[in-house]
Amino acid sequence: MIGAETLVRTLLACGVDTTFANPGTSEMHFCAALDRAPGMRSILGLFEGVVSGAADGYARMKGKPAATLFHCGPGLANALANFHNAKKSETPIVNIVGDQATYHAPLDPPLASDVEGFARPVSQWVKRVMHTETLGDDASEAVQASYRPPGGIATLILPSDVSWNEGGTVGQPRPIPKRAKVDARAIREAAAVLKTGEPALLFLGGAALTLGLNDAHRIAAKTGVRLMAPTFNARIARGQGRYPIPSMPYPVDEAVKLTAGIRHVILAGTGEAVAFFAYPNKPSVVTPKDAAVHVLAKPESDAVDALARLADELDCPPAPTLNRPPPPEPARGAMNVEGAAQTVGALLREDAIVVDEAITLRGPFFAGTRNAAPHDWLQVPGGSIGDGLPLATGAAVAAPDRRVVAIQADGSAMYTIQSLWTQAREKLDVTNIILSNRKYAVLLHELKAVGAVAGKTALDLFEIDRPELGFIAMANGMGVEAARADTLEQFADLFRHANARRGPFLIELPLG
Amino acid sequence: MTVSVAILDDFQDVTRTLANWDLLGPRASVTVFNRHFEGEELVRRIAPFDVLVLTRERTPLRRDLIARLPNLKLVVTAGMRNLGIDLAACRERGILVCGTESGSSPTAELAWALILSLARRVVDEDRALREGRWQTTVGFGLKDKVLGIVGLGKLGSQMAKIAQAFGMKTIAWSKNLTTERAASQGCTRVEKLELFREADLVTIHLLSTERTKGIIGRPEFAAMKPTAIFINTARAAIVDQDALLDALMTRKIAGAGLDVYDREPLPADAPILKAPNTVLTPHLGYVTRESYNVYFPQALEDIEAWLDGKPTRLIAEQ
Repeated sequence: MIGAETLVRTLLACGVDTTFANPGTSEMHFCAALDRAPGMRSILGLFEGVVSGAADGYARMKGKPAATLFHCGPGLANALANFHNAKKSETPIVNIVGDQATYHAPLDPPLASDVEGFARPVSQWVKRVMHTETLGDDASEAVQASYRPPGGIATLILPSDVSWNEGGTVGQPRPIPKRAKVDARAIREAAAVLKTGEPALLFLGGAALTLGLNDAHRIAAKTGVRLMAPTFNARIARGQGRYPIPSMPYPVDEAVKLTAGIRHVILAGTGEAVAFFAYPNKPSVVTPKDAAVHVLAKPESDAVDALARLADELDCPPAPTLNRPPPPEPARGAMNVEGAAQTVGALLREDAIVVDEAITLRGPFFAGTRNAAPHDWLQVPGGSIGDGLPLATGAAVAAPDRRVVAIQADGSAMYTIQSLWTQAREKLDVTNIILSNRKYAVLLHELKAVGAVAGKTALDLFEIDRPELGFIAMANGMGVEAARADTLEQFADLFRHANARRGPFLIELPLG
Repeated sequence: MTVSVAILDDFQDVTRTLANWDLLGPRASVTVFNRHFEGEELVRRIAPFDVLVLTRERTPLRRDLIARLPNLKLVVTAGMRNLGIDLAACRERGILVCGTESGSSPTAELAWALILSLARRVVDEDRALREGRWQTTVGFGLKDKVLGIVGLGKLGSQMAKIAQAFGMKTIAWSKNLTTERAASQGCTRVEKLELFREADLVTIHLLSTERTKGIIGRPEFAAMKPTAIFINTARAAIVDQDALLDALMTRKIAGAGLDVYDREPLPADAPILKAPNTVLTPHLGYVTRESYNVYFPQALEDIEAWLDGKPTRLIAEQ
């Protein structure tokens, strides 16, 4: 069996049955092998950043890795920004990078590059396969490595001759590494802290934000500890029937004010609350300097189990009954961001997946959907923009029975707007809401926050209204139906329509 | 022997008064259903009957349904053509199918009611006036506008004649339409997409067959002017309903007048009910006093003739 077929069959044997790809010449044998070894859903992205972001969105919802397929170092380099986000989201991905043949690379052909050098900063495992005979085993190791807690990118570099040579043997699936249970001492320490009654913050991340919320609320109800999530998270379970969790405000001053007086910070599945950026005369860690930090569970440990054990250690009764107000009514009148957010909160379908790359408009949408139907909320923990539409694309592949709603700022939408084409081609149920304020609004905020003074030239770099971006025409040009909502009534009608139909749809909201 | 007769889908409860069913005397008992049935309920309701009286295609008689109607001996349909009846399945079971004349062709008139209502925003203005608002829209006139007629048969030709009386230009397309036939009706024959590109109003008058299923879809709506109006009084199956809904919701077209739907009666939660700039009627095309006055007395005649052993107006397989 040739290497390429060995690889596809090994991936399938290891449970990896979806590939997001943007292939080139060195991956031709892999592509051909997809027809010889059926069972792999292969999805084309028209830019590598679409592919890497979609693989991230897929694994966040599916709980298992997809494969990505790229062409040489430059192809991988195009994928890196969204791989950075995937790394920060602790997402397992099996990343296959085709490269020059082993004997050709030393001659330094045009596409020869330091693939390992591109891969290492975002990968938790990198291996160049040198022999077809070991490819099956290496691929199986790559799948296992992607699962290694907390989960990450495993990059397998595949020279083209390894791919086309005979001699491959299908690799056997390896055990999936489990997250380690935390030591009993960590549980006892956290319990002791909480029993003091001193003001404390339980800072939750990772799986604790989906599976650990119930136990976190048991603990909070018993001890009065405050609960909070980082500003941006890979996935939070929200809405009716779920225990609410506030997230740390992005502006440092707000975060500092909100956590003032906290004496203890207990970390469960995440690190300390570090500000997105440094600002002159502002702290880097937003919780009080003199607060003691206690690690209940590191990101790679089993925080969900730790919370359950901590709740038991504290003899917490079952979680208090949820008493949420019903979802809001759709808003009416002139277009405005709070009204649009309220309308999303009113009309979001049960079990929807919301992808949030709203940037400066995140706050109103997060608040407006608090009491919406139960949903999952996906963000961009790595902060590298241009991930919203790819994440939505991948999430829709992973969850074909759920509606995906992308709440997408206009400037960052333009990084990976090609995602719409993949959504149309794969007939994915995604409602893309483009928040058109025609500017890099976040930079105007940051300008003020860092204390810089901008003139006309600088301000011109933050405006994206000349010429006007035609999102409707761009969507139509990629096979996606689209419309603009000038009033909240129109938005409600379009949002209902988009969510009820099959396939992707784009709604542009003028919020300038 | 008394035969049992069921009259289906008499939504307006008028068949009792439109024909003197007492003339059947003790030979038949007549039951009238005013509500539409589907699925298992339909089977349960109509299985006992010997004779079914159908109003056009309101309740289709497909092969699988016919197989579950053990007593059925005679089907009487309004009109001489009912594409909802599986004639072969009826023949195999020895079930006779009779029809009636159709009287006039009032569907073209309804199409004009929809066109004029949309052009002059009659429904919107009526609603606004009752809510206390005076003049809320600005409509458009028909003179010099282009009417695109898809299907230039009997109804399409009537549409052309009336359009010409309004001073409109008429263009037409169907697969088999010749330039000469179009010219004989005062129309210019154009290609399909050209029709959708040029017309200010598009009206559909094709028969619903396998060949015309979904013949109007996304490319056609994409070609239409954003100011153009779409009228369908023919059959929903001719038009890709999802594409039509998208075209309306995204305002790619200015509006639609629709009399036919993929599900009839239209469910209360049908998305088309939320579409902007639409005038919707409940499949009224053939529903006039004049039509009914032909359908139901002749349906009664059909049953009498069959009871007398001299069935009349039999519908043959095409």
